Amino acid sequence: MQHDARSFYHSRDTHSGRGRLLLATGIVLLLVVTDIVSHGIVRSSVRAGVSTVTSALREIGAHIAQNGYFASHAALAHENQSLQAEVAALQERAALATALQAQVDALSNIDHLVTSDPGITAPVVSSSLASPYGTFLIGAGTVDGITVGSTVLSTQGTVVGTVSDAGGHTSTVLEIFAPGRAINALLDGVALSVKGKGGGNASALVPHGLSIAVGDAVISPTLGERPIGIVGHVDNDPSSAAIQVYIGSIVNLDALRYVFVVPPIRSDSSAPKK
Amino acid sequence: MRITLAFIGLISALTLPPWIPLVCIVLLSIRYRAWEAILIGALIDFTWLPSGTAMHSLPLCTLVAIIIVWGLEPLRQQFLLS
Repeated sequence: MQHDARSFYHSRDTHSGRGRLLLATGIVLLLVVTDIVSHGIVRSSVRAGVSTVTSALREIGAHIAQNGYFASHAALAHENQSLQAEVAALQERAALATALQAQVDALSNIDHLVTSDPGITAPVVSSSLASPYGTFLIGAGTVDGITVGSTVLSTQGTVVGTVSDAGGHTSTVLEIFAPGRAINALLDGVALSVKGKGGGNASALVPHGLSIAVGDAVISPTLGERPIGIVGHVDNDPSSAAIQVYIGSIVNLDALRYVFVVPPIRSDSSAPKK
Repeated sequence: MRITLAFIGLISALTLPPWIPLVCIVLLSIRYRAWEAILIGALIDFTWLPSGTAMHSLPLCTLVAIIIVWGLEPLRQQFLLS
């Protein structure tokens, strides 16, 4: 009798637990379908909330880090971060100089000057570590004039990514080397397809015979001839048909606090005007 | 324990590397019929998933969470709920 009662309650709990799980699965799938059909309305609403939550979490984290035991640890971490940022800034300047030199060489044969597009500065409101898709959030949206496809630059002018979704006050940026992303680029004047690996890393195959060295700048012709990365390692295996080049992001995404967003570059704007 | 894991999973989905919420999803799914695990997967996708190419538009984290939660159902039924 007692055994029957226990099995009855167990069965009821099992059904109720499974029912809740089934209901949650159904609701989430419904939300996903709604989001796809509505072109991201659910995502946009969630991101607006997430932006507020992450900003609050950052403030709480900063308060905790400034007090007691964490203060000395935070000071060392801050010093380490500053030094890393300094190294990244120097690398960025070197790559920028190389890219600018290449651009000057190219422009010297053209009889017109290209004026830079206007843009806006936006704060980075999320961690770049948390996304499995190589994205991060910025605190500016369609209200501020941001559109899908806008190019996102560091304060020095190197490409960080492009806007993949634009909400009212928050936009999602797809990193330039997001996992699986292919970008057309130029390295030593040779066109190549760079494949993103995530975490600010990418790789590309280039033909033998090129003088590629570590530290060379990789430029994207489709993103305004701006530098997107620097060569970190060259795997020159003579038995292989091509040279494997490993490229790293110039900018340390974790150190980014503000970005500069410029309107999408039209393909016809790069053509010489007659 | 369930609430703690769910809380860590939800917060880490927004601020920490993706393997941390994944661990929370697996731990929750092993022990409980955790609808929270699906919620964590959906939160990751709704927050970070970009629009664009078909590959990038697939809500992988939600699908992985659903597969883990429902895939571990026979195991839970056999060893934990009986």
